[in-house]
Amino acid sequence: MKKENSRRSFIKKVSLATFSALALSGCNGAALDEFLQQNFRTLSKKEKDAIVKNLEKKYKAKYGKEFHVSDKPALEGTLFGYALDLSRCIGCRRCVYACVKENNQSREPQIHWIEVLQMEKEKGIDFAHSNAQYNPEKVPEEGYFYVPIQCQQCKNPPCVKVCPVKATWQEPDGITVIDYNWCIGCRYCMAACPYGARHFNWGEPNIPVEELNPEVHYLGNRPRVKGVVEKCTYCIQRSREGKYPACVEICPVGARKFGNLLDPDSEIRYILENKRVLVLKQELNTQPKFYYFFGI
Amino acid sequence: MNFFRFITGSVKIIFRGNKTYYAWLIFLLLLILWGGSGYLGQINTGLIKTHMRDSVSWGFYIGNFTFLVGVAAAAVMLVIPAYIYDWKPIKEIVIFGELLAVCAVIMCISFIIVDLGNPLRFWHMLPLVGTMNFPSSMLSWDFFVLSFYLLINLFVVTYLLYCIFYKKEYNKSIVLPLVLLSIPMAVAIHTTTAFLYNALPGRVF
Repeated sequence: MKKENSRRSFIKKVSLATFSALALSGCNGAALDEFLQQNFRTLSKKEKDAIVKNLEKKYKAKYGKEFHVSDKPALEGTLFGYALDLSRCIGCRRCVYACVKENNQSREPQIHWIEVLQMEKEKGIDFAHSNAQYNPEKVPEEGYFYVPIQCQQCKNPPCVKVCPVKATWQEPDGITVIDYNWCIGCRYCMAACPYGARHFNWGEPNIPVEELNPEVHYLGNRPRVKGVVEKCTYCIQRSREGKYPACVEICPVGARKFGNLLDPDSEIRYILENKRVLVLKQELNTQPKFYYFFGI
Repeated sequence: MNFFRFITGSVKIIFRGNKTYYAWLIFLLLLILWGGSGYLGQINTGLIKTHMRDSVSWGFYIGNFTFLVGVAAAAVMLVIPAYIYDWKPIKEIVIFGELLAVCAVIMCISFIIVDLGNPLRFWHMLPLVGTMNFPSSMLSWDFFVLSFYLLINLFVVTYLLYCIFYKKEYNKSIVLPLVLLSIPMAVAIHTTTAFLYNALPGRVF
């Protein structure tokens, strides 16, 4: 008799404990919702709107700034292309810093989406002997030319192929994006990218609050957390509003050209049709939409 | 009930031993606690603690994972003579080989989990609740094949040990098909390391 009672009371206690634990955990509904959030591509418009609102609230609480999170989809009939004039680039790195400011990249640990490689004019495009840490008094240095590298938005992206959870994909307007709430941080995409264009948040990103850019896109420059991969998104928060990416606007010598490849009258189409154009690591068949040319 | 008794009985056997055995167990436990505290530090500050950086984004974790996949697949070297060629002398240690395979695969999966920037999100890799990128991503294939190999070996080993515990003869029609399945599975788990590394274009900057 005694044994029966003790087993029954034990089961009662355990189920009560479990139920209360579940009930208590339900109190932090927002955090639980965010954890159980599905892959961005599978969400409905209503779910996306709710997530965006939630993010704005979260950023307001964390940084004390009013954030505008956009989830604007790709514009009809656009395929973004980028061209960089190697004969003009002086290696000043203004594009690197403008990108950092525009896209809320971590200052400590430092993340740069654009990396400028210094190469010798004698050797031409030679990655093995390039130097990304050049630091002279003045640029450009005699006998060298500069190749800024950022995400090439390949038509055949190796990073998209290898992501085990489909957290990165290419949008219809040609921009390869990452869902920061879905990325598990395995870094396979970073190993697969032949251009070293993807960067990882090894530690918690630190940005001084006054330098935060509050105009963000869900798939672009919204503040990230540690443990996710990030990269250039052609300033998706700007290009989908018809503006130029920050790097294009800041370049002091006009080496960067950006436009819609599907528009036959665009600058980028003119360059592709009339200039000497090359792509990096062509033999890997990644088919980048980032073209390098010689303008003068 | 029988199974529960088998578990408790096995646990009793594990804790039966002399001083040297206990010293060894305590030493291993200390190593585990040391590793655990290191991982706790990593969870708090992030993977920056590992000193891996963008240029070398995979380090010791994936290296050890690769090595242990090889160890796990090596169990097939004992399984083939024991079950296909029915060679008596090796039948005595084949179960140790399978136990080692189980431990090695558990360690493989653990190494992947500690390497992730967001380990709690590993469920994103599962087929129905998440979005598994199979067969395009080698890491998905990896996960699928390792889990399957673990399940097969775990089941076979538990069943064999259960039979030995109760001094019964094991049922060949249960064990043999699973063991035969584990042979191509061992080859399959070895492909993960090959495909994982081969599919990556290297860069010098």
